Amino acid sequence: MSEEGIRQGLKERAATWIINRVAGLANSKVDIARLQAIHNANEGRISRMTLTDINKSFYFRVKDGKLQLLSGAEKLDGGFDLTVDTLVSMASGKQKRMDPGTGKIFSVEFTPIDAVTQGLVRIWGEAASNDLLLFAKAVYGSIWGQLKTEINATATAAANGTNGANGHA
Amino acid sequence: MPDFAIVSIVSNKGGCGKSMVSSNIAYQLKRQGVRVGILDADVDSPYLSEMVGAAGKITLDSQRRMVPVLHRGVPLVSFSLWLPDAFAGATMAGSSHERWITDAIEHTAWGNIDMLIVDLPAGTSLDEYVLVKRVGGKRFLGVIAVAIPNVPSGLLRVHGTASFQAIRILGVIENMSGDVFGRGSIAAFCKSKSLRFLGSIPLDARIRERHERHEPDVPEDLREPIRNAAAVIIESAKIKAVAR
Repeated sequence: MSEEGIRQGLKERAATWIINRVAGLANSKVDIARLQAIHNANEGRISRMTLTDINKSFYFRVKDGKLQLLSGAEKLDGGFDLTVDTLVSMASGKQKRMDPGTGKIFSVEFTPIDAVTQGLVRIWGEAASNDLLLFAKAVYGSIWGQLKTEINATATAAANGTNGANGHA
Repeated sequence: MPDFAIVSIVSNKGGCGKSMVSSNIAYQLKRQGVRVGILDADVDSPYLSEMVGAAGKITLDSQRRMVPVLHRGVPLVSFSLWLPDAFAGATMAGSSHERWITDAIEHTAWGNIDMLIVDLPAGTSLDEYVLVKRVGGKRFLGVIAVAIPNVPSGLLRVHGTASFQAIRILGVIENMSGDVFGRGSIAAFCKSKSLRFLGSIPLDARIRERHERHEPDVPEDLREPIRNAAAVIIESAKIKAVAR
């Protein structure tokens, strides 16, 4: 396999792990059924997340009180497009930046809203702004703390050559 | 399509006083009995909510529509009120930017308003001009242009964009007129293009002092261009105004 192919494979693996953890944490830590009831979100709208740099899409919907990952969809209601790097930055809650004066690399806090306002995520579909706001307010705050911890522990473990949080590598 | 009329406030450059004019026109319409809302559509650097001293955040209702912040009895949606946290600026992708403005018009619980005043970002980018026209459909009435007298060529660009897209310029307000930036050039331009000149708001320290106190109203004695703009909008929308 080429170096590019290996890089793509690693990116896909990282993205798949993050998506599965987001779904797992959302379903265990967020009362999705309650959110559905409060915001009349029972229509099972299907969204697509496309990772533009590896040309891979994930499909999901909120139905029956759960965030469900789907293998595909015939009809889409909306979605968002981003790169794996942006997804990892959102999940880890950190974005690397360079000081243009000194060339020094430093990290800043980074949220899904930052990703959208910086133009790193393209949202589309009817009322996508409303759904993004709901996600940022009702879901992000509940799951990202743990996700960040797991990712940062995994990254540290990988650097040390040991297993990461919960054995995820 | 929205069930309220829409007017955009535009200028070719930033710092012309667009947000000040937008909020003043909205408050003038309200004084005349029009049920009005304000959308600060300047995603890159939203300033209107800060200028008028609006506090609070946009929430979602039971239909997942945005719920505006009610300030001085006028529903207000601004990107700065939509964001969960304070932010320094946005460089949103064009399509996300368009999505947000569209959702802010179409998927917001504006209530029973007659009129939405949209404070557009500075510039003559076709995107926003055409977007609001497209979303507003037949309810989009046109634009009020704000210009400063030392850059009359800016108004030429607004005029060009509006003409090209068949967008009606309802009227033009000259802002900051006086010894510093000059006076009269905008009225002369309007005359040359058969545009309706609504009057001049002078560069007056009282306006700044009021803004510092988050009191956006232009002093009563300087308000004629605002009253004229409100009258033109009411006439265009055929809204029956009820003086209060």
